[in-house]
Amino acid sequence: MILLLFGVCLVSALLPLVMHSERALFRSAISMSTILFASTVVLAVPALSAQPFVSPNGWLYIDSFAALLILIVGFIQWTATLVSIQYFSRELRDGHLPLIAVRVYYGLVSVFALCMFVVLTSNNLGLMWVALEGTTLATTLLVGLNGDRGGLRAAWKYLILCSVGISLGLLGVFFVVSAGVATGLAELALSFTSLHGAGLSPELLRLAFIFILIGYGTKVGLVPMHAWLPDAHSHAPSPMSALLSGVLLNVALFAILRYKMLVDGALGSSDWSNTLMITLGTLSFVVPAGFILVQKNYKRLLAYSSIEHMGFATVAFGLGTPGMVYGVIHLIGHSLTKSMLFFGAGNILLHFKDTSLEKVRGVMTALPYSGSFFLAGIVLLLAVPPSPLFMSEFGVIAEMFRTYPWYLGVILLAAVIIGAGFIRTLIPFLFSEPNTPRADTERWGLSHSVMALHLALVVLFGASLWYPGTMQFIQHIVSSSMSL
Amino acid sequence: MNVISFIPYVYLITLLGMLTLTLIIAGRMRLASFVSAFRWQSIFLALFVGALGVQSAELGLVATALLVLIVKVYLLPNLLNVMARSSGASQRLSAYFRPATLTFSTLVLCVAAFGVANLLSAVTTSDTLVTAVSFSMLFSGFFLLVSRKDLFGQCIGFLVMENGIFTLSLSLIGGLPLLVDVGILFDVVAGVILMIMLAYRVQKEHASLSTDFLHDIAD
Repeated sequence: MILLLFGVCLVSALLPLVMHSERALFRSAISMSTILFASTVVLAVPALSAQPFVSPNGWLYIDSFAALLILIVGFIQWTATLVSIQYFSRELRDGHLPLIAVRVYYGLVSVFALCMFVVLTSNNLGLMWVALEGTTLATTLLVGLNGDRGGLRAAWKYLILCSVGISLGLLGVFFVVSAGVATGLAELALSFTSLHGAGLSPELLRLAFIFILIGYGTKVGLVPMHAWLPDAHSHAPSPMSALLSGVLLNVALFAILRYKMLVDGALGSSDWSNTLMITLGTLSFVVPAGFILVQKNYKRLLAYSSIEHMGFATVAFGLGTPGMVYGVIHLIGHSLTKSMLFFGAGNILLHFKDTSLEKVRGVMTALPYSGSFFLAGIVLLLAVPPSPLFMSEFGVIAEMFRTYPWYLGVILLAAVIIGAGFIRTLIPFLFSEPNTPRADTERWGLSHSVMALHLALVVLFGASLWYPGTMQFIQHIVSSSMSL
Repeated sequence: MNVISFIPYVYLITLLGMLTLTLIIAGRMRLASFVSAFRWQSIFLALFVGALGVQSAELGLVATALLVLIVKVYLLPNLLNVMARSSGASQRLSAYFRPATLTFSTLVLCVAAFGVANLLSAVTTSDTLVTAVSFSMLFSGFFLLVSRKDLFGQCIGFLVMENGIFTLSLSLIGGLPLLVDVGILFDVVAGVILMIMLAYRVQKEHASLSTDFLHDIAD
């Protein structure tokens, strides 16, 4: 089944090569992404409640947490493709992009999805690294798709910083493998399931985890390795930004958590890795607050918010089992909300042709549908109930009161600054008089239906958290990820 | 005397070769000699891997040595030179410091690498000299990334770092399964080809490969 998923991605990556007309290209993209989403449902839904599964050759491994993330990747790549049709039709019509660029986009997006699926299902440390670096390689050209000065700068920074970061991660992988080789595992030293409980050297694993956290943390956008993220996420075409912010960051964090389980197992306690994650997570929550407060570009605003949310999730995952439950809730809520916001940002960009917060005014009047969804998304992102982020942030704060009160003080201060920053920057953006000549009224399109679907899912998920059954289910997902 | 008895000397010569070239790369300010110094470092790396393969009679390692020869000695340096010629990039490289300062700083980093290797010898089973040379390449690659003012410096800096990590993997694990090795090498090649493509576009757009364009203030 997993191989079928990989096969669908490959076919979907190759199809744009033979699609020479715009119509055929869009049709094939929609069909393939729908098939891909259906495959993820068929694969992941049974795996959500099943026991972890290792493939007979030992290369692949899937547990409930991986299944959940596969489902999110499958869903968001599908909705991003639906939105991209409207986005790219407009870009092609306006002559901003040639057809070949759109063909490259659909081909590479499928390779990108394939790499993410491989990271999520890999039981082999080397394969996981190769696929994680593959996500950078597949998306570099997409970040610079527009070919302007900013796009080139973003693509170069993205490629260099992520490649260097992930090379350091490779060093961490080698330290883990050498610890495995020292216990006599030989070839099996590359397999997560064999390494777990193999009596690995605690010193080597500590050293390895520092490199992994720095290396893979670069892909998560953890401060201070985050410099690429605001550029890449704001210059990429909006459906791509939705995928980068909505799913790629989760996938990289997932890879770190896989190693955290190994390290905790070797050390016999999670205290050491928890402290590292909470420190780095708090830093990643606090530093973007200042940038959000003075932000002048709405896509960068969303990108900085992604850094801050991934920082928060990292803190949650560093709080042991209760925190991990909130971490999972945070990841789901953030993925669905942030991708919706980037879809909205795409519509705003297409209308106003600018990403500057100073030049774009009165979005609610000019684009009532997109503006309303954007506003709803921001409210949910700021963790107003029934947002699932309310539940996760409330839970983490309650947990930190007990265990890390000093860190919590800093986080709460930063949260106030972030809230103020969003309100300060977005009120004139959304509610003042439009500064562009009044065009036709916005018509309801596919992108709005997609955003409505995201909104409904976020609200439903947030509301469902008040029922004990949902929390128990997430608890099951967390315990399956810990049973590696 | 058979071939195997020469292998310890090959190790020593190749390791010292890689270390010396690390220092040479640091101070090169002309593109052709900068790339060719990296090419020589990769030749020594390939010889080192090959010798390891012969000694342990592992075909996988010999195949990896051949791959290193093809990719890092032939393909990537040639691509860099071709790109520079076809885009009309200047042969003169630029850095934040003078060549002598660059070489001396790299020397200090190499000494630090020996210190790190000494500390690591307590926890790993790898050979201290190999670890020291690997960390020298890793540190000096990183230094190239931050001290050079053009995209070539960043590209070669990344490659030198990668050479260091690759050498360390050999000393820590004694080689990976060929499939994983090929995957890693593929990622490196694809990454560098992308860097070359982007650098080509930057040269065409700005008529320079200076990293100044990275410093536009966006926030």
